[in-house]
Amino acid sequence: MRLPLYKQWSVNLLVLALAIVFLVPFYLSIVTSFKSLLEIAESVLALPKSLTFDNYAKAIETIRLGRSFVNSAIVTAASTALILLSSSMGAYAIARNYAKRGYRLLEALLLAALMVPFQIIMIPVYKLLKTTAMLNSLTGAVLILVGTSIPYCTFLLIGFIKSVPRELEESAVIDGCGPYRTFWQIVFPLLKPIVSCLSVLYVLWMWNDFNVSLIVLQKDVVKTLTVQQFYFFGENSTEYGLAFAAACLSMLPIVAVFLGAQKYIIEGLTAGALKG
Amino acid sequence: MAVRQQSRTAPTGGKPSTPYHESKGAIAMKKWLGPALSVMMLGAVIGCGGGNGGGASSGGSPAPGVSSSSPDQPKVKLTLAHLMVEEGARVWVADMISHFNAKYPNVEVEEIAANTDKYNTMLKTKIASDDAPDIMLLVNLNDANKDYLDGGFVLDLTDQPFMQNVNSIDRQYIDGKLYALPFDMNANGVIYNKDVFEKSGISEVPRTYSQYKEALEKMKQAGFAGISLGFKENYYVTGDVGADWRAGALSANPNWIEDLQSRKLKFQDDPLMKGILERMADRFAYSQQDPFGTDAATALSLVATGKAGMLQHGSFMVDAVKKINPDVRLGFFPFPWSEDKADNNLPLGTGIGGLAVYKDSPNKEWALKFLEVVATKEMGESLQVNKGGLSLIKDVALPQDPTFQEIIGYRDSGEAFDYTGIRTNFTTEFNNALATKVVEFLMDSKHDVSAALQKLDAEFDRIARTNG
Amino acid sequence: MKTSSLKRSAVTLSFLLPILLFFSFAMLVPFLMGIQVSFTDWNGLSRTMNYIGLENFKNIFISPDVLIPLKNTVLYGLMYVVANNVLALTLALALNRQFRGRNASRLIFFIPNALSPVLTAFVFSFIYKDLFSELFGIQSLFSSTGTALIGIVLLAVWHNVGINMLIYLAALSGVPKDLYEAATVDGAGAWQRFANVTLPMIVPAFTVCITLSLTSGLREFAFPLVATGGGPVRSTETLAIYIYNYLFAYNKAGYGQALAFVFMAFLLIVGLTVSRLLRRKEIEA
Repeated sequence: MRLPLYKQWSVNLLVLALAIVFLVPFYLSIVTSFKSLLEIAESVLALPKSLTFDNYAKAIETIRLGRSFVNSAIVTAASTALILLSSSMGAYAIARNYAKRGYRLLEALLLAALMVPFQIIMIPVYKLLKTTAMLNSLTGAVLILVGTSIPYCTFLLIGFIKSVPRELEESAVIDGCGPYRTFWQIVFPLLKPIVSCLSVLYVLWMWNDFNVSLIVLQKDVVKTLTVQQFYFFGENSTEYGLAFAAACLSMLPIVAVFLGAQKYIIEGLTAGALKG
Repeated sequence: MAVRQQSRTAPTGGKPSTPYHESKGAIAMKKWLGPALSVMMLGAVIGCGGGNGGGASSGGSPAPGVSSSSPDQPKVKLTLAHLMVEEGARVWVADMISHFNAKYPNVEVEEIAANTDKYNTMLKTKIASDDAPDIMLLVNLNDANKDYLDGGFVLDLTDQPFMQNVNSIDRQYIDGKLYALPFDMNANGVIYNKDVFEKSGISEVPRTYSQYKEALEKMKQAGFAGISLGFKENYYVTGDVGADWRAGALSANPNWIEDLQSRKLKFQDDPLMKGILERMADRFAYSQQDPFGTDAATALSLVATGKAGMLQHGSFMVDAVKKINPDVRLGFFPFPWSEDKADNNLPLGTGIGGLAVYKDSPNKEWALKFLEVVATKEMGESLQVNKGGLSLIKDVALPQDPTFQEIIGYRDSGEAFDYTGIRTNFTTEFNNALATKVVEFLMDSKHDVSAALQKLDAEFDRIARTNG
Repeated sequence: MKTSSLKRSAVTLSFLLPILLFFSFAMLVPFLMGIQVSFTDWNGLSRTMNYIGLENFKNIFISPDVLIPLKNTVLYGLMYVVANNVLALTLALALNRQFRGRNASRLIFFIPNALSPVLTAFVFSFIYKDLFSELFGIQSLFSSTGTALIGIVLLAVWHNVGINMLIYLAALSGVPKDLYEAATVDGAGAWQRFANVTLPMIVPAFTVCITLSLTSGLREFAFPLVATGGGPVRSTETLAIYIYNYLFAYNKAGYGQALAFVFMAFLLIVGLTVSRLLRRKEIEA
């Protein structure tokens, strides 16, 4: 655009080079997933001797892929939706009342919550879910995941909502819109860039969540994919081949989601650049 | 009014403008919201259902043809927690569960397995929240894991008849009682690759320390790494050094570990530790490249693929090495810490512990029945075949595996030292401190032993001080 | 008028209710439960625990041992924040133009976040040990106390840079093009356009990215735990790992919980300070 052509090309080249470097770990994961333990021991970097799906078959069988996949999907979808909906509502309330001390204090409280390492609440959370009979339930896991993700999400949204001009809401109110309609029909659509972005992020994070799932979902029937993967890291030896096969399987849906969702993300991102 | 008009035109100053009636965003948002809400509701429905144990158990399956609502037998659910996640061990556990179910089809056994680090966390969390498993694998009940005992979580098994099926059960008593069912024995020492020894011209297994050093040198000349050190991981460090202290220090002073932890004995006053560090420095010179970046799995594979000659640990590692290369020819010998062959006996025994029953389990009776099945000859044989190792159950035929035959050979010729009942491990905090200081000692190119002993004392003193 | 303001408060409250409910349940209540434990000598296991008042806290402050993980944590935090944000912003700027392969590149830089942290740590251990020795003839970064922490920073940045990159991209796309045009008309060069148009307009993104990568960096737990276990010789032992050890491995849960609270206070101070500094620079609509 404004850069001379040769500069543009060199930037492109650098980006390409870095992209290749970024892909190396994936190359290793995929290649290792096709090797037997012996092959891995012989050489980490070499291509596999043959494309046998042994590791994959074993991985699927051992970690009961079907059920785990469904569990992961449910937890991910439910958590993401709840996080985004409640955070945008809450962030709206805080951002629009930022002048009042109480609301800034609430933001500070949320920020403080970001500093809480999960270890502090691990055992109390377990005890709490046990008392409310929500241990080993996907609902319990979702509640904890949502509650612990809200600080970050709300914090992000507060910043962005503040950049939305109030005039639009004010005129909506004058036009007779109630507060809820004002929010959902005027403000929320303007948040599309960041909300799309966050949806993808949270789908990813909820899918890969480990801490909460480990504590809450211990029975096989409710375990998610991430926890099942750890099954392969045995006491004295690590079954790298199987572990990476499981990892690749676990990654596929995420990559698929991201590829499919790219359109929305791009739409969201470019919408901000359009002018009236 | 003017205000109303302004809202329909693009405001100045570069602010985004989206007429609110035709907002594409709103439409897209509605499109997105719909599916999200239905997923949420679906999630809530399935989530509630999924938590009620609707899935099959992970262990064995009940015998076919037996209806689960048999009038005599109540339906029972047992939880079994353990940390044996290697394939062979899992097969053994599955075998046990299916044998148990053949006898008692009304009991469902649910397995909760986690690997070492996660296991203790998981177990403690469950117990602390009154959700303890019925049966749990607990080791080092007389030392590192004494808290389980002191907390009153473990059922007294002293009078259970099946306990008498175990060899040397008299060694497992703690204060006159039995608390767990041990099921296999471990030897501790050096695992070696027979091919590497042969190629290096080592005809006899080293039984004195100078023979050991010679062997290291021969392997180096032949182009092999004499010893494989997976020193990235703390437990491997103390496992390697542990082969020395189990063969040497403990036979000289059975209270060695306890004295050091209580600070009754200081490292600087201990000739045993001095020797251990010096020997460590000796063999460190023959390790593979980059020992501190090598993890345990890689260290094992070096021996499995014949790139390294030896590794030192418990005999449970044999199974792990063979899993990498089933064709490897492995042998085992005691770490020869002394010049006198008579001192170099093979430590062979079992830690205090095994399968324990939760004291307040509502299914105690069934848990005991499960342990009864474990303590049978059949399951002992299954252990040797599947998990690899030496069963402790009486009358079980010796394993056919040549490596284990070699181990038994030491026992039969009176060259074994039974460490059952002796404390052989430091508690975790001390263990980590020891591993850290050993690594620090080795990283120092001067290998200053007295400085290392001093640092060890300082660390152990500090830890002992914060011990309640 | 009073009823209307009450009504407004009720409405605002209804907007806040979801987050308040979830947050209280999942974080506030467990947190308060945890406070109790920090005043006891609980070993994480037994049913009983004794109150020992401020003993745990006293021990934290008189023990120089905590300085080791503290130093590691601060060092790591600083390195991580700088590396992550510089790279993320650079990538966002580079990818903010139209060119072939732009979408693919965006995907590639983000995709590392799809690999679970545990597996990321394992793959990088492989890479440092085998690949580096093959290509550069050096030993694994995790083998030496001087380079281990850097090794963690690299893998953490690889894993996380995509997130910040996306946030910066979203912010960049919100900068109206007419501002750039106006600046060009005024005679501004590329660097001046960047410094005077781009930077100020994306300060909300800075607030978010920097504060959050700093606090998450300071809390780093999974990567060093899995990659090096805190070693060698405790050079990658972060405060989170230190606390976790006391809570679960060393049977000193009371002490561990007390440590966790002190740690949290530290993070609070750092986080609030940084966030306040940056929020002041934001441009409100």
